Amino acid sequence: MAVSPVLLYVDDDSTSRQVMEMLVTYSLGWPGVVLFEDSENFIERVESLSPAPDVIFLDIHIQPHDGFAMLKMLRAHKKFSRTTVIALTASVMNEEVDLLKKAGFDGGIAKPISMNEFPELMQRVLNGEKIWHIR
Amino acid sequence: MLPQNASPKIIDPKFEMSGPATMNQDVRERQLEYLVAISVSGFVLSVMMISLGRFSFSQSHWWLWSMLGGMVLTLVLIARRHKLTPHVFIISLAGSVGLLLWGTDTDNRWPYFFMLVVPAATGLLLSRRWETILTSLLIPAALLIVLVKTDLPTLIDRAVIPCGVLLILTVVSYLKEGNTSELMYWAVDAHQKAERRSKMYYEQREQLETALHDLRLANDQLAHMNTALGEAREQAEQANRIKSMFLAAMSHELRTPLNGILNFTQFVSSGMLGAVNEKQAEVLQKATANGEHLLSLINDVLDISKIESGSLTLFVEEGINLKEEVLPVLDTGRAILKNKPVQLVFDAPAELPVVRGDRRRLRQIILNLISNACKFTDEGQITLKLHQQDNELIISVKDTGPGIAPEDHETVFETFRQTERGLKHGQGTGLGLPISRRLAEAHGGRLWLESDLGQGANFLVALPITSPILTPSG
Repeated sequence: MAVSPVLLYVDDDSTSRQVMEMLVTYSLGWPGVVLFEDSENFIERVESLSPAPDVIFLDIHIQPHDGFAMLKMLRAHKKFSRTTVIALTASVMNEEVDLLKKAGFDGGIAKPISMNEFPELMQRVLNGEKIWHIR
Repeated sequence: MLPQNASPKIIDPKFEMSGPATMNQDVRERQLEYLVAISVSGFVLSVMMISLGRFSFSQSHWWLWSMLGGMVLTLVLIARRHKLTPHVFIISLAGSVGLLLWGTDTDNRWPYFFMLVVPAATGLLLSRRWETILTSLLIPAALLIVLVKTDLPTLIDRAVIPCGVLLILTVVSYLKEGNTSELMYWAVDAHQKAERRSKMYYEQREQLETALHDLRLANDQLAHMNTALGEAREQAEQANRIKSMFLAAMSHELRTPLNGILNFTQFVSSGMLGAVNEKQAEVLQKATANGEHLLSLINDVLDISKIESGSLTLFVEEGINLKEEVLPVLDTGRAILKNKPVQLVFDAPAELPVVRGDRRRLRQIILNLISNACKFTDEGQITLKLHQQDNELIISVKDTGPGIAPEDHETVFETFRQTERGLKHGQGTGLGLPISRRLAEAHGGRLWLESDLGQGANFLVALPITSPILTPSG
């Protein structure tokens, strides 16, 4: 892969951010991932990113805008309306997964993320596949 | 003709039982009481007049005594409700009139003629046709006695006219087939029936009102109970919502730190963060295994809660090749067996149909069965066998473990229940089998067990190859 895709991950849990960073750098061998620790001024901060993110991972339970609200902002934005947005959540009850699907996420990955499975999942995401790895 | 049997049929058998015969008898007896009273009054009056000398008879007063005896006898019979009472009354009347005629010489005959009418009328009133005829014959019989004492002209004078009157009455009574008494009895009978019917009607209405009252009470109680039930259901639903919320929150709160625990330990043990010696790698692997076990427990609790709340959703795919899906499961099984002298054998035909279902859930079922077998079997062999039987794909996991007593066969499928051996083993939540069975059922299949103590166990799953209850989800 000539140019690594740009990833953005929004999560208020520092452990989760660190895990993601390590997965990207060690497991995928990519330069890194852009991390937001809250959703304050979310869309402005995404806009200011250069280059623009190819894949955005969103935590759901986060303040002030939750994952659904952030997805709405992205979808309403001209530039990010077609960007791949994956929910990354520890809430995996059926109804919660249904809500994610209905909201229009391109996929969902449940925490804990499996280190062994992450590279394959990432590859499928980049291939444009909708992944629902909810366990 | 108006006999009793022409009266409307009463449906209630109670009326039939009370019977017209008894009622007729009652009416007869009442009339007899009046007649006896009149006769006795006449007797007393006669005795008084005789004793005062104002009214005398040339002969002895046998007729009076005969009438008195007849009346007393009649009264006794009324008290005993004897069916011969009217006959005795009529005969005694007729007899006393006969005696009167026997002993009377006087030319003033008209009172006696009229006296003859009394028993005849009584007979008509009280008796049926044949009794009336009998009564009517009694009078000429009495007059025959007079004939012995009297010459023919006197007899004609005294007897022919009353006999004629009686005869005419008898014929009339005979011709109209019945007598006045029957009509009267019928009327009284009908009246009493009506009275009884209206009484029953009022009783029934009273009963109905009582029943309605009870019904209202019951309705009130029912409404009350419904309210209570509604409240209880509300509470149960509330409790269920809280449980679901708790489980979702618990799952969330436990999974987030596990994300760190599992990944960090794996990063360290993988050597990516620096060299790890053998001992460290071993301990880190144990930490990872424990973390994964914890995750599987959380998942089990989550699954059973989904199943119990009816919110289990399958992610249905077509064309699942179970032969491929079982391979990682077999690896897990071998890892559990480690150094135990147990052989794990996989047996499947070359041609095996693919199935429709939830890939992850099917793998979960097989994993549950295999890991149970591996945990409980200390030596021998575990066979995972796949084969087709009619329209079903059969998965069987057969072991040479301790086996399960028949009485425990259903226990192992109950949530949070384990056999004593399972509890001693001290692993798992006891949820694996109940979850697996419910997952198999959600696929339109079934999961059962063939085993006995010391015989090993064989767990079988039958899955419809193309389950009609599943539709592929997008």
